Amino acid sequence: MAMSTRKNTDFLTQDSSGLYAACGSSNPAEQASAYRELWAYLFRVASYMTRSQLDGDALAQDCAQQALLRVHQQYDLCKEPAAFRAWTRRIVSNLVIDELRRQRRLQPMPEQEATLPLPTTENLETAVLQTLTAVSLRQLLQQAPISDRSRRVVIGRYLDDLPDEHLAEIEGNLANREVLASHVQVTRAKNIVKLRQWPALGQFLREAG
Amino acid sequence: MNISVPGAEEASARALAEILSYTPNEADCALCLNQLEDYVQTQLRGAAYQPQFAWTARHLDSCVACAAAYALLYEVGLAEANGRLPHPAHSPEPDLSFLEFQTGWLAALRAALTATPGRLAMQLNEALARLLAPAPAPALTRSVGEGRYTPKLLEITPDQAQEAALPFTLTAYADQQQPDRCLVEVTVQPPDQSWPDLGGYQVSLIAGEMVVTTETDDWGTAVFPGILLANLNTLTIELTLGNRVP
Repeated sequence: MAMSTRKNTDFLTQDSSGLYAACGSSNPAEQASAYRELWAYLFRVASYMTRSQLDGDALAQDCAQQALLRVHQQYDLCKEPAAFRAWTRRIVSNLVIDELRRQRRLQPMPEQEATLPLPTTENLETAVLQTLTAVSLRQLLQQAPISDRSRRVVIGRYLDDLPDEHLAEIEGNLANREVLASHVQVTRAKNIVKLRQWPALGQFLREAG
Repeated sequence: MNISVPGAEEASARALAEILSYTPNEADCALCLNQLEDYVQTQLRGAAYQPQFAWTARHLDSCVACAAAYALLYEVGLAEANGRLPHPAHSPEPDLSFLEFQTGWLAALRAALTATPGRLAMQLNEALARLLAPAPAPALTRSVGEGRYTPKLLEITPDQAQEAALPFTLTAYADQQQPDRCLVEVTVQPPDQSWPDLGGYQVSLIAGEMVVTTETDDWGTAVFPGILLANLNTLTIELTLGNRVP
């Protein structure tokens, strides 16, 4: 509890304008001190983003170092000192994402959801699905080869018009653990890819179109 | 894909059908990644981010890699906003040598200069040479000699020369054919002079026991090949500006 309070205080008292001014200081000691403080922040952000990578610590260090240099090189481009920290976070997070993307490691973290086999189309009630309506699409998705959770986040977003925060709350209550909106988003993206490969859906869309 | 559906209430079904029929490409991913930070910040502010960034939201539903990138940004933003961004157990030391370079090179360079009427000398030393060493970069190959002279070992760039009010630039390149040697190139450009009026300046290079003197060409360049690497960091460069050879 004490730790949590300290972190909250840190966050609330972080002076972005002050850090900006110190990073641009003509006093070498003050400037170096500011860059050390900035380094701690950038490494913290990068470490959190790379926490699921096997070499996450090294990757975070590389990206934070690159970000530090880029902040220094592009310092004059930051026009809002009050948003300096956010600006630097954007730089380091973009570097992490670029690096993971370059190494083709930008994959979602492992989920609890099992991969389900794709069934054949033989058992589908395709006769009732030949017109594209919300009802017919919902009926088809009820038979799709995806988990119930996956089905809920696809249908919830598109056919029930629910925001991901609301869907996350539903899933969190069902699973009795914290589910974030980002989990909902990733689950939906993965399952839309699966649905694209489902022959019954392709056939339905062709007939409906 | 243009799917016709009966009634306005079916727009959502149409949107889903279009997502299911859409395959994202690299350009779409690049566009999405450019918008992700704003998308996440809007979401974290509690604003209607999905309608506001409708295209991005649809792309995220279509592309697992971009959805994963979004998740990274969202979760780090959320953790920070909630004051729950963890402090790593181990925090390595940053490399702040770029600050030393910024604050140190100019003073070190000025200290290495000796000016007398019509003559300027620069005495390199280990500390200055270290500050003038270029940062590693992907394209350091010198075009002359089919890559024989590469990479750059130290450099006073035109920007640095201007900042130091120095009338010349300096570059030293490794010699790939003679690993113990390097090539030193001095380009003289006094204020208000330019090609083709830069020829005839006398430049001397003192490397250990060896003294080599040459004149600049019309571009102001004097080249000294075959300089021992062991002497590079203690070179003296003397430039005669007053007695220009016609």
